[in-house]
Parts: sequence; C-alpha cells; structure tokens
Amino acid sequence: MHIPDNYLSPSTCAVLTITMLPIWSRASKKIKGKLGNKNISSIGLLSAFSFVLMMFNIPLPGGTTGHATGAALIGILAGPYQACLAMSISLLIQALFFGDGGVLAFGANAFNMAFIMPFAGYYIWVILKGFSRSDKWGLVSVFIASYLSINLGALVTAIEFGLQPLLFKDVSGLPLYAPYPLNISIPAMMVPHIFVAGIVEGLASIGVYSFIKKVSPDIISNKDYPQLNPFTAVIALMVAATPIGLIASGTAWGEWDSEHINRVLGYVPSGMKDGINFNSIMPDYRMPWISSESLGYVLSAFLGLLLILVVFRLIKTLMSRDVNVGLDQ
Amino acid sequence: MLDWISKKDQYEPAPSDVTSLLNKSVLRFLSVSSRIRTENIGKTGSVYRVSPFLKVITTFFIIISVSLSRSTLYCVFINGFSFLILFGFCAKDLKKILYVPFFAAIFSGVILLPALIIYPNGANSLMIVLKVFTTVLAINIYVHSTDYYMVTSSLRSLLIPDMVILLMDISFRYIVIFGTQASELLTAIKLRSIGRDKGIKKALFNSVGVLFIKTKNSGESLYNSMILRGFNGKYFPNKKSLRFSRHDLYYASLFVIFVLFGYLI
Repeated sequence: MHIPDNYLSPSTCAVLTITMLPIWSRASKKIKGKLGNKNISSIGLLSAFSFVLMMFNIPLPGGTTGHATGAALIGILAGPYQACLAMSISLLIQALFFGDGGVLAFGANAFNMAFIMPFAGYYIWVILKGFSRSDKWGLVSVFIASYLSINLGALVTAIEFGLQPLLFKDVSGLPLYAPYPLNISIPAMMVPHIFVAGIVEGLASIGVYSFIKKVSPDIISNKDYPQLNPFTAVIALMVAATPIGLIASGTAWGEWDSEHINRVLGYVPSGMKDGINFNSIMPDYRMPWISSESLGYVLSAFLGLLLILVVFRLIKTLMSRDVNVGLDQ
Repeated sequence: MLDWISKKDQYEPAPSDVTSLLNKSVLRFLSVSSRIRTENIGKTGSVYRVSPFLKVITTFFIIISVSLSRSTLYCVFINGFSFLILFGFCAKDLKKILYVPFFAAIFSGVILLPALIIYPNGANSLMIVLKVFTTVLAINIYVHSTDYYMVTSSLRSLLIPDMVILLMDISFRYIVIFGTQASELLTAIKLRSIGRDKGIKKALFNSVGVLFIKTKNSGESLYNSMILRGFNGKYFPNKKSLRFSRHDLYYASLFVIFVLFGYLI
C-alpha cells in the first residue's frame, strides 16, 4: 500500500500532507498532554514495533507469505493518536532509508496508513465491542476492525490513484501520473485486500491481541482512549466522500442555471432572466484561474471546509470570551 | 513384542516452506539491523566525505524537481549525475545501491504495462518508470553514503522539529533491538519445531505480542534514562554536518552543472 513518488501529482501529495498537519499536531498535543515527554519516548518504541511487525512473514494458503501492517492493532492496543504518530514515523523511516514509499508521497501514505487505518480500526472496534462483553466477541470485533480498516485504507489509496487521470492530463488528454481511472484502480486494489490482505491483517491482529489479553491484560485497558462522537464521524465520512462528486454527471435537481433551463424548456422565465445575478468567487465549485475542473472542484471543497472551520472557531472563541467576561463581572 | 517396537520410526521433517518462512523473516530482521548498524568509517570513496547537509539538500531537490519535471532529458541528466557519483562508492555498496532502484523500476514497469494498452502513447507511463528509478536511486545514494546519526542531524539542519528527530532516533535504535530480539525468538521457534509445523502461526503471533509488551514496558524507563544522561528534549544541528570541504565543492559544482544542462537542453 506504500505509494512511491511520481504516482501521485505533487499537488495531491501537498494537499494530503497539509491535511495531515493538524492531525499530527492534535495527536502530539494529546499525547504530550497526558504524560508529557514520557509518552513521546513510548511513541518512538511503538514506531519501531510497527516497523518490525511489518517484517514478520505470515504463512498464507498456497505456500506464499504476507505481512500485516498492524495499524489497526496498534490503534486498538495503544490508542489511535499514538498509533497515528508511531505509524507516521515508521513510514518516514521506510521512505527515507529503505526506499519503501515515496518521500514526496509521505503525506499521502501517512493519510492512508497512519490516519485512516488506525482511526477506522480503533473506532470500528469501539462500536463493535459495545454490543457484547464476551471474550469471543472481543476477538471477532478485533478481526472485523482490522479487516475493515485495511480495506478502507486500500479504498482511499485506490481513490487517490483513480483520481489522477481525472485531474491531471497533458495537452493530448493523456494522464500524467497514475494512469488507471477509478473503475480500474478500485477493483485492482480492493480484490487482493478483500480476499487476502484483509484476512492476514485480521488473523494477525487476533493472534497478537489474544496473546496480550492472556499474558498482560492491563496493557489493553482503554479508559483514557477517545470515544466516538457520532456527529464528528458523519462529518468526517462526508468530507472523505467529497471526490465522489467528480464521477457524478449532470446537475442536482432544482439547482439549474438559466442556460440549463433554456436548453430544457426552450426559454428562460422572465423572473429568472431579470432577477438578481450574483457572481461568486468560485462559481459552480470551480476556480476560474485553474483550468482543470476536477482539481478546482476538490480545491473548492477543501477551501469551503477550511472556511467553515475558521468561522466556527471564531464563533467559539468569541462565545468563550463572553462567558469569561460574564464570570469576571 | 508390541507392534510399534518393530515398526520403523517415521520421522517427517517440517515442510520446507515453514523453515523458509522463518528463515525469510530472520534474514529480513538481520539485514535491516545490519544496515542500520553499518557505519561508513574506514570507507575511502570521496562521496562518503561530502557534507550530509549538502547531500540532503540535493536529494530533496532531485525528488521535487524530478516530480515536477515533464522532460525526459532532465531525468536522464539527473541520472547521469547519480551514476557519476556512484564512482565514488566502494564496490560492496554499489550492488546494494543499485538493487532497489532497478527492482522499483521493474515493478513499476509491470504495474504500468496494461496502461500501454489503454493509452497507446505510453510516453507518460514510461516517464513514471524513469522517475521512480531516478528518485529511488537518489535516495539510496544519500542513505548509503551517510551514517544514520548524521542523517538525523542533517534533517535537524532543515528545521525539522525536535520531536520528529527524537522519535526517529529512538525508532532507529529500537528497530535494531527489536529486530535482534525478533530474530532470536524466531530462531527459537525454528529450533523447537523440527519435525512439526503445528502451532507455528500461533508462536509467530505470540512473538509479536512479546515484542509489544516489551515496547509498552520500556517506554518510561527509556525516557527516565535519557533524562538521567542530561537529555532536555532539544536537538542541535551537528556541526560536522555543516562543515564544508573541497569534496563538497566538487559535488555541488557537478550537481549544478548537470541540473543546468538538464534544465536548459
């Protein structure tokens, strides 16, 4: 799943690296906040562990071998923020010193394997283990969480690959980077992950989890771990699904412009024709200064999200100031 | 006389794939550990004497410029520079340096082969293969000509945060430690499973579990021992990595000449 350099465009790599910056910042704040620098050294050890874990060959049917990534397992055992930082450092070492995964694509690899996988694995496990307290169900939930997390990571990687020919073409219309569109990249990535890699990941997670649960159950105590906020989960899912809009053809029902109505009805109603005509900065989720429509769509979504976050942050700051003033009085 | 006494012992050695599986993992651990442990002390090639800071700057420049470039000639010139630098390596390192980029390029070629059917003009796909080779070769040259502790200190010169350097430093040391422990655990499993292969998967997972418990238990003691040795969480750029010599001048001049030719032609 390690993406090498030059398969993704530099702008895709930049966007995903920028996306990872607040995640890394939040993770390091969370970890430092709990135990200070003592936890930081544990993260170094965890990243060494995740590196070594990826070198363990596991036998597969047919005489071949595979290896687990351990992202969901570390998320479950140590917490998602710890796993995020540990996996990121492990990926950085792999890229810088072993040529496994690109240096420029480090942000993309970190997004797929150090963010999506441990967080998805951890939260799926949290939701599932809420259904029953039995040990057997605990193991099943670890398997499902690990299986789904690696498949989700693979799906996001496939989407990143599949968007390249949509977003970046040369003058003759040929793709500049990864050449396979979504209808090829998704099955190509998902089939081996659904039938082989996901099962390997799940079995490895069960094997290690059950051993630790038996030998040292205190390690798995997770009372300090973050709990799932359903609202945040839905928002995150919607943000992640934004690029799907690129494959949708046509316009949303009712959101027609005068040109479209003229094409369908043969005339434009006078109220619409002579009504208010506001020219926004990014009409139709496009950026006039960017020639690629698809790139403009993704960037406008990113900017829109950023603006909403900034506005709500400002409102929150102003409201907390009002509360403090009220308390002072 | 009982039947089983007169029967010939049926010794069935473990299937070879189980032994080879364990050997494969052990070899991987040992090769990674030895790669991190290996230092370039005593190596005579001029490339080992070039400042790590200069090497990290040029390597990052190569990665970014090659990724942005659409010119095949530019990549060819950058490869020309890399191959010229390879003359400065000792013969033992050459094989290690060239193996990974060639493997990466062949792997990319195989992956992109169907693209030649979809898009008849396969120039862009071939360009990706060339770019993969160029960037992996540049990284490998940098890594094999620079000691690991110098790599982390040269990254500090690039204003990479202290915490990242600290985490990388700890990870490096513990990759060697865990790698050694893991290879010992696997060797023990191998010795105990002569003639049988049942439970080998469980033993493998248990080994990973043992490593995880060690990881969790060693974190705090490691930090305390670092504090006792006077560590205050700050990293300073290694002065040695910023010292420039005539080797740096030759290296930088060659690099500038090749980049300019690649850009202008």
